[in-house]
Amino acid sequence: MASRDNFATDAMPLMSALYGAALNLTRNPSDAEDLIQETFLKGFRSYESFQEGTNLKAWLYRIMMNTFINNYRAKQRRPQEVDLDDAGDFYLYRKLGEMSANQIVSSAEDELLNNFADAEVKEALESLPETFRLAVYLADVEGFSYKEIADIMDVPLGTVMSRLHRGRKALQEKLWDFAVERGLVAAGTGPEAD
Amino acid sequence: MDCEKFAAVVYEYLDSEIAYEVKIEIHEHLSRCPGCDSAVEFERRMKVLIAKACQCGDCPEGLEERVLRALQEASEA
Repeated sequence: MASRDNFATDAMPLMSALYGAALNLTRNPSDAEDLIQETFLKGFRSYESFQEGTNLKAWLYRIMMNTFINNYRAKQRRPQEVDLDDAGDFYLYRKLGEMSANQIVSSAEDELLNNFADAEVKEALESLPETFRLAVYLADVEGFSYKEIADIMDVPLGTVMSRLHRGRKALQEKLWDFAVERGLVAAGTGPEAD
Repeated sequence: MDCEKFAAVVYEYLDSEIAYEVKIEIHEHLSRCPGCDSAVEFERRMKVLIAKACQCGDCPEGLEERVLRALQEASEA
């Protein structure tokens, strides 16, 4: 059992990681700050229920998710469950492979990823429906295990896996669109061209 | 393990969420399938790209003080 007296010492170092996720959830710095404050207050009040030796960051994430769902999602009027089409395996890699070398304008195929700006990758991630965006964020940015993501999002393990598969593929579709828009690859290539 | 089966578990593989025996099968497949080997390398770089893009750095100035103050007030209440 954890003592409230230690909460600040234990939890404060995790704040910047949680703020990044709060920003990803709310997409608004002011809401993200409010969400962080509420999360830390709730964490403090229920710290006795935290099992020492388990993952404190995952525990705080779970509180943050619940707070977000109860307080913010309604405000943002975002549809709660949206499904994504299955974009196909290795989407971006295959799109690149379908082109002949002279259609790649700026760089060799394996260098294309280096040409994406962080802002574009972030925008592609932000374009995903919330549940998919969050699963990818928790796995790739925070490095949580599937079990931890399932606990944080309060969904079965299979749902986490499916969201990761679909979310990652959809993100690659979006990045492909950016690559075409920016002229990194020639528009109208690939099977959808005809 | 064939290419189709590999594609179905590629993310579990990259996320280290796969059983040891399956991992052996995957490595065996990758060693004789340059296509999948190259595709999985691409996916690995995608993961790094996402992680790098989303490192938001520090919290906004004042947030830590604000939260500490709120915790202080809550402990006095």
